[in-house]
Amino acid sequence: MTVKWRAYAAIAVIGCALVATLTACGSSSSGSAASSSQTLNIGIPEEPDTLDPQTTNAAISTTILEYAGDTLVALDPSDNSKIVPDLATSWQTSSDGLTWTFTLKSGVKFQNGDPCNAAAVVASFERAMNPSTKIGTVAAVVKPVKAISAVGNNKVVITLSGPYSLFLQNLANPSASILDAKVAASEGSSFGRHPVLTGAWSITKWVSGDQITLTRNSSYNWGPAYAGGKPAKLKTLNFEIIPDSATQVAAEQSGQTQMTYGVPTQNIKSFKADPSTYTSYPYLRSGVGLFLEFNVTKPPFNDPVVREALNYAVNKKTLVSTALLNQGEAACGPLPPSIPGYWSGMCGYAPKYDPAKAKALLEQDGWTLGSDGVLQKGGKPFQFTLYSSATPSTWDTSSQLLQQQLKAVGIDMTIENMEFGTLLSKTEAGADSAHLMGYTYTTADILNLWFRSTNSGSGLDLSHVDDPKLDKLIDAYQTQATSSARDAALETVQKYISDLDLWVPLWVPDDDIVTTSQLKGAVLSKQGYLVLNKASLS
Amino acid sequence: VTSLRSFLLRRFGQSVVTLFAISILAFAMIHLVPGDPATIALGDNATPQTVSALRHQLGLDKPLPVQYVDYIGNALRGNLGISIRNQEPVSTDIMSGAGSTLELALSAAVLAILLGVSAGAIAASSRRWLRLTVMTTAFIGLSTPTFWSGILLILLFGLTWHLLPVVGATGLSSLVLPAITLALPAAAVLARITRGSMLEVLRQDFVRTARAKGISRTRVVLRHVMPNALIPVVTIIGLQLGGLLSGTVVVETLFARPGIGRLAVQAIEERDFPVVQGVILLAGAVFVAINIVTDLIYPLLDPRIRR
Repeated sequence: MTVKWRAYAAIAVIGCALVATLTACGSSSSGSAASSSQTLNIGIPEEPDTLDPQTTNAAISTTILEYAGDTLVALDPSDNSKIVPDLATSWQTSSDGLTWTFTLKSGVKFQNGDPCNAAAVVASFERAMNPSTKIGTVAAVVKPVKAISAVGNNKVVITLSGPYSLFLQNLANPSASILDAKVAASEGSSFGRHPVLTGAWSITKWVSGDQITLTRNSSYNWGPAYAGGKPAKLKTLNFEIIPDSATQVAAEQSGQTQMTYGVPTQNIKSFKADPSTYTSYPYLRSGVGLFLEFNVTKPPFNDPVVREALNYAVNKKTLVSTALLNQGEAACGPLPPSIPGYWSGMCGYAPKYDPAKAKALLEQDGWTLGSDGVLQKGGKPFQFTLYSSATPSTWDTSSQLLQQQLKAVGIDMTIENMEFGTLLSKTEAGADSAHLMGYTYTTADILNLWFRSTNSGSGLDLSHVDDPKLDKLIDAYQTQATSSARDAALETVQKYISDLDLWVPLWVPDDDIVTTSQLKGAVLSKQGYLVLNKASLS
Repeated sequence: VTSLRSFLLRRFGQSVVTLFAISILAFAMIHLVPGDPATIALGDNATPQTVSALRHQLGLDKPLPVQYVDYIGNALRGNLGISIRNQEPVSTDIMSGAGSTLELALSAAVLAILLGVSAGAIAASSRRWLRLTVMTTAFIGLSTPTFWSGILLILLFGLTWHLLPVVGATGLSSLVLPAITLALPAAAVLARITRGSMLEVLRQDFVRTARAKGISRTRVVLRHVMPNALIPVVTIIGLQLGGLLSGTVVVETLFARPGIGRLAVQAIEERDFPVVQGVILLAGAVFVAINIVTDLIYPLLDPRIRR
């Protein structure tokens, strides 16, 4: 008997110790949360590679740099095709579109106090143009730049090697944030851990795998008009890196984070259902979230008629309602409505769901229905393997729906799921017949990256299309000097890409930023981030 | 003493061979997985020229055996290469996560040993209902994957009761949930092994003899049964410690804690192969070291092994 009682006692002691630790710790954490009303904890799903604007390749870096940096020009939050002044108060362009003159705001300082004058802006650009700098996404910004020079203290002249229609829009990308090149040169690769920029918050601390802390820049009185011309109200922005989506939701629900980027599709509705606790900021993703892309070099999809038929065989509405739970819309072409330059007539122009037409096209093309319900041509059944990824779940659901829909017209599709990095490299190498893919990008220049034949093999020309006319049309929109001419050229190229049936565009999702309803004054930018300069916690 | 020395030497020799095998495996694995690190590192805007320049800089254009010899030579000098992702030395990345992982793994280990051994001991020497309860709990603990038990703990302690933080690594409070999540399966294994081992020892003649000589049951269990029953348990503890380290891969990601497991996941996803190799080598070395320490503990518990 005594042994048993002692054993019970031992368990009881361990149990009590655990409970004591739990409760003691619990109370201390809730105490600290209450006293930090000036801090906003923001959940982000992944960690940046670097926060050096010029060397980063990660989309999440762009989001953080929106808070830490300033660019020469900015995009209006409510209309991302409208370009507004930021560090440059005004700009002029020569009639040939080759020379751009920017007049800078005076009194702008870097976060370490160094003046951000014309010479500093030139130094920042020259660093990005220096071949020894391993530049990331900023490459798209500086590619057309031939030379840059300072005129006096507040004028910068940029010369382009040819007219480039998206130049001004690209300048608004956070990767073109003006940085203190002097500090960058002296710090080397560690500059990316705490870059010196001009934004409303400065990057003060970065604990790998944990959080990135931004602290208010109290001398900030420049920036775009929508920032309000004075320092931000929130003193600290803590970006908490939370890779697991269920944990991300739990952190927001427990109040540990007060704002979440990248809320999983299946959780958006539950946040929206509780508007007294949460505010939801949905926006259409700046990219086509999912499309079926053909490898046009291999049968059966080297046959344009077959590709066209598949465009009639797929019911995108079902995909949007089942896979996206109606958080998004059907995609019609290579660009989503959220990217400036999208041709608004696209959905009327592109093929619509019509299984009878799909069957008729395939029949005319020589395919006959076999006894097993699968189409055949020359004794060969219509079978192919779709390369895809099982995560996110919206992809998984979509690929299964596609399988059913194609089966209905007599096509036998097998799904092979793989991890995303593998998917990308296999499709780059052209190992597939067709695959699922998606992209997010800020400008229409994605058409150049995705469809120009020079990007086949090692770049994003994953359909491996090699069409001289398409290349010419891409050149044409890139080299327009005016935005109206550019949009007309973009319309032509979008129609032509649709005519080639390189994809079956599937859907563009609504992405969502969720905050506590106590956060007031935040403004959603159509680019997919929340402007927080005037925001505070009530 | 001589036998201990030769034993140690032999074990050390075996460890070197094991580590060598691990390094070859790590190296081969990362080169068999599709995805060219240079292309991935440079992203969508890369030109073929910059890709081939980076391939050259990383030594990816050399034959594989040459790459391996270069790698091992540098690793022996403490240079595990440069992370493709953030351009920092791999050793810096690993060191910055090591403290947090060690903290998590050690607290989980202590928790697992306390919970597991005491639960096993109770189950071996008590009433049927208690035994059944303990062993059923252990069975459930053993069969529950950490990513699920972790979510349940988050729901309960983070969302329902608001007792503990859900994510992060600030302060002791943020350690509690991850440590419990990580400890549960290990504790369950230890409970089962302890119980089995104790039941076996309890059946032996010397236990009856000791009781017949009038020694109290408590004393018999603590002084005679426990030391004999613990030898297989120590072996399992050693193995479970290795398991705890691999468990950090899931638990650190789930609870958004910094650490080596998290680093490994991120590096694999982004094809940051110098980091993946570094983590595999480190994990292998730790596993080998734990095994040696376990072997050294046996003689302390059992005088017969000392001879």
